[in-house]
Amino acid sequence: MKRFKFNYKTFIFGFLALPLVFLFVTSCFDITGVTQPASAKVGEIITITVNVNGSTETESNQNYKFLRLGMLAPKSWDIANKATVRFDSDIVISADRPGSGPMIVDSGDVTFWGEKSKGLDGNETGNKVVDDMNSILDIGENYGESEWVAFRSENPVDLGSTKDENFTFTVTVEVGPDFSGAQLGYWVGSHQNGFKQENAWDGSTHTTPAVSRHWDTFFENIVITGAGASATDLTGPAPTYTATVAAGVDGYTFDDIITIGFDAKEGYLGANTALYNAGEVYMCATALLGDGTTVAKVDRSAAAKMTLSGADTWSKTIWPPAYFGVNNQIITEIHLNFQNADGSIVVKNPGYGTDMVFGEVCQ
Amino acid sequence: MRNILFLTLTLTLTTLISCDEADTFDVRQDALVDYVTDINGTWTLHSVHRDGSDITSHIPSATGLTLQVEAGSFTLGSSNLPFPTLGNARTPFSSGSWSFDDDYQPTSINFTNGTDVIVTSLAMPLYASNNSSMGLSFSMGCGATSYQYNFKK
Repeated sequence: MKRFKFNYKTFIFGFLALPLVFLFVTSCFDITGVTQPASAKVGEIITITVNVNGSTETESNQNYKFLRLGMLAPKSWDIANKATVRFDSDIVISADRPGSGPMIVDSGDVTFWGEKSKGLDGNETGNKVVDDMNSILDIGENYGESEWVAFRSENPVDLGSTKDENFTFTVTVEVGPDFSGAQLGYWVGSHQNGFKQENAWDGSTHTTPAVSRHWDTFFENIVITGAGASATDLTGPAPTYTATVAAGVDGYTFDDIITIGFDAKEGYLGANTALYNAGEVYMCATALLGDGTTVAKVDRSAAAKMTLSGADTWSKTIWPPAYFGVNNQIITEIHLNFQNADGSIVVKNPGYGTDMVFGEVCQ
Repeated sequence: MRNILFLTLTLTLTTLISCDEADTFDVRQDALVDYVTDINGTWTLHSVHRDGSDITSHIPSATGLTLQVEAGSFTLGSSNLPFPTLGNARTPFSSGSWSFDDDYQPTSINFTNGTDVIVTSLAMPLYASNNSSMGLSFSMGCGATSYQYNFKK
């Protein structure tokens, strides 16, 4: 048997080289692009690719890291249960330090070192990653009804000693119901620094700098077909129950005879509006035209007076081109508020304080 | 034998008596002629239905819409209501010419300004003449939403 002979030169070399071998791309994440369908149909399975560049800068940290991916999508898509995610790079170090592999939904186990969350200051928050993700990150252009879902690599990852490495996340997800449009979002980081906010690395060569040195976000819109006439566009105005616009069962355009309803009982958080029990209600409407100009009918004239159609519910039926005196122009949106006879009470979109905005809905 | 002979004679006479000469009818010569359906005149909107629901009372002055029909031409009175030839999905026109798809048994009217042809279905059959009611059914904006205008003269 060959006897092991200690060689102090080998030991010193190995000691010095070890960090270089286990370098992990942690310090800089830049999302360099997202390949996502511009439109998809409800029920369709779509594949999304998130391209990321990771740079070690000059860091040489040999610790294992869990890669994290956050995805923002409509809640109705239920991506925590319906999406599959994996990451890929061309680096393979060893079986327990893969350069590619599946991503799993972060379970929220705050006692597990790989799932502990760090806030903007880089300190552990004691919260679940997904909770911090939803409180720290915005939801893009969506008016609501969207959520971030946190995924992490199933195993700790080493991308090797490469200083600058490109890798991809591939998301496969079923397009969910209820919305005709949305903005999807992506967040990339690692467990080591979490949501630590720090100026992006000035050595980044990408045209759009990362949000933070330790993580980056990316947002992209998608048009969804087949969602039904009642579907709303998450990137459009927030829906309201205070006012409704309707024509036929399959929706309306502004070339239809539309009926506008106002429910004085549907105020902020279910309270009554300021026009509850009002004797008269006037519809103040502004049409946004295709050329970007507007036509306002906000004079509370007799033509704008609404008809009491039920208990504190009012309605008005109009043909928009004639009502606004629009000829040879397309009406793209109608903005509404409701007032009493002298205009001393104005009801706008509860919780927003802006006019209620309606676009065409036709399926 | 005599009884049989008597019975046979009786049946024969009965049969001959019952065979009277067939009735004859005078048919007017013009009853066999197809007449071109006549809708000329001034029609006034009586009711508006949207997807089968009567919404006439919800639209102030809805019944003010008039449709003047002359031989081959039409003129729409000003109104706060849509009409197949109006709307912003196309270049609107409120006058022009018209024709039936079938002059004798029409099921639709074609309105045209010389460039665009708008085909509008008749919601009810028309008589050859002396029509006092006419229904038009059409869609405007969202294709599945249908309207029926009932005119009276």
